[in-house]
Amino acid sequence: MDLRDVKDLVKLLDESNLFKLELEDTNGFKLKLEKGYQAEKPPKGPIVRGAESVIVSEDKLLAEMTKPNPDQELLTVTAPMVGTFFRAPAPDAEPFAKEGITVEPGDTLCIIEAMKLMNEITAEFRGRIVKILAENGQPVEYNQPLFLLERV
Amino acid sequence: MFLQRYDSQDKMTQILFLLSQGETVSGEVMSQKVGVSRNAIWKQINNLRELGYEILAETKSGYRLVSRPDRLYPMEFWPYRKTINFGNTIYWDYDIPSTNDKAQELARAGAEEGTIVLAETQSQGRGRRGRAWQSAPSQGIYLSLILRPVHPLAEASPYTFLGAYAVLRFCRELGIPALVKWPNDIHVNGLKISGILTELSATGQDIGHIVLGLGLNVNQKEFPKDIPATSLSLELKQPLSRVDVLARLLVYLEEGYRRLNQDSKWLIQVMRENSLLLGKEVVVTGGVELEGTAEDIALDGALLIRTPEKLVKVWAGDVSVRPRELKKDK
Repeated sequence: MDLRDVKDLVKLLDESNLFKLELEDTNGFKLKLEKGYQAEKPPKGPIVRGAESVIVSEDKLLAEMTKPNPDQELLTVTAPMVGTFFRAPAPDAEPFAKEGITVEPGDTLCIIEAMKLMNEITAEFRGRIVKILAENGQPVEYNQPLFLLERV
Repeated sequence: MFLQRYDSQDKMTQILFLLSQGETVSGEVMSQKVGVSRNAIWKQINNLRELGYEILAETKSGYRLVSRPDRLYPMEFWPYRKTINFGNTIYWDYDIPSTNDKAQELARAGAEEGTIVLAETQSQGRGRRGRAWQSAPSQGIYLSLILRPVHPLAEASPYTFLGAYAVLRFCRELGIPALVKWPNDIHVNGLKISGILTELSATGQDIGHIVLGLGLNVNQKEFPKDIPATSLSLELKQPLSRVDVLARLLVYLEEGYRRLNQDSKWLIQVMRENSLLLGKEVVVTGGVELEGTAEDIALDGALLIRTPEKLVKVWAGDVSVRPRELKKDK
């Protein structure tokens, strides 16, 4: 592997949705590339650069939501993988979850599709959906906030 | 009547095995060999008849099997089985609205890895985003397989290629020039022979279970004019034993799954080498809309498309090869 290959890889990583790239060739040469975080705010967990704008709006939302009752507990459900966000099992079907409804543990919240692998994302606790943060049919990044839930 | 079988040694299977030797077997002999009363034998014979087995009863000599139905019953499958775990538990019914939905239900109730759901036909067989999948009765294989890989969710995507790998290997074994249309449709000379829909149910950051749904056209002799499809039998110009096809397909599924649990790079390489799309001008619709050249399949399985501006990573959507006519217009 020469410098040009590395440059290409950096470019590839930069243009991709990935935040980490690890390679190993047959000669035992190892390369590990990671995208830098934008440093103004310390990221909570491994947050992808592309999701920054959404994080900001989530913070705003959180601020707004918590105003009337500072003790109220709001939790964000984030995307466990990269893919396309779908709110319903089929285009003409009812969405799994709507704002205002209460979901039970195990209830499906949405599907994230990656390469025709349909990933059902389920609720891990009983909660009321305060806000749906992602748009139906649109790509989502790893760790991008999808739902704002209030524990009930 | 639905059948759920965990055991290749169950009474009905044993009786069927004795009858399958091609000779008349007396009720008494069967009763001794299987270890149940003659009355119990008679009951099982009637059950088999209800399932479509033609069994003659001769008062003096006993029972004789005249014909067996073309069905993917568990007891038809056992003698062909070559897998270690896959197909150890089989749920069969003639018409299951969707084998994937049934498998989801069984998986949630705790069904073990390798459990398969089989239907002769599906009234609501579905593909991506709720699209219909045609399940001509007893012509194809309509299968859903339950997997429980111990893997973080973020690394789940290569499992979507497992079904495509198995069908591809099997087609090549038969000498059929199959190719994979990313992510996992199998085409032969531009006609679809198999469709796969993989559904994953996540628990937190882990893969809970995966249901791999696979439809394979086996003995169809024709398709509606508006469906560009083919079958194994149309390609080979002879009918095939579906139960044999199933057993061989499961071998590739099991072998591929074991390797995939160790490492996924080899599978991405297989997908690259047998891709219908790579190097072609393609159009992507649904979610992202773009046109460009399908350049490569990334190690995480995404399709890389070169547009005039940049290299785009596609995770989901409908990808089709751009027809030549359209190109000329430009």
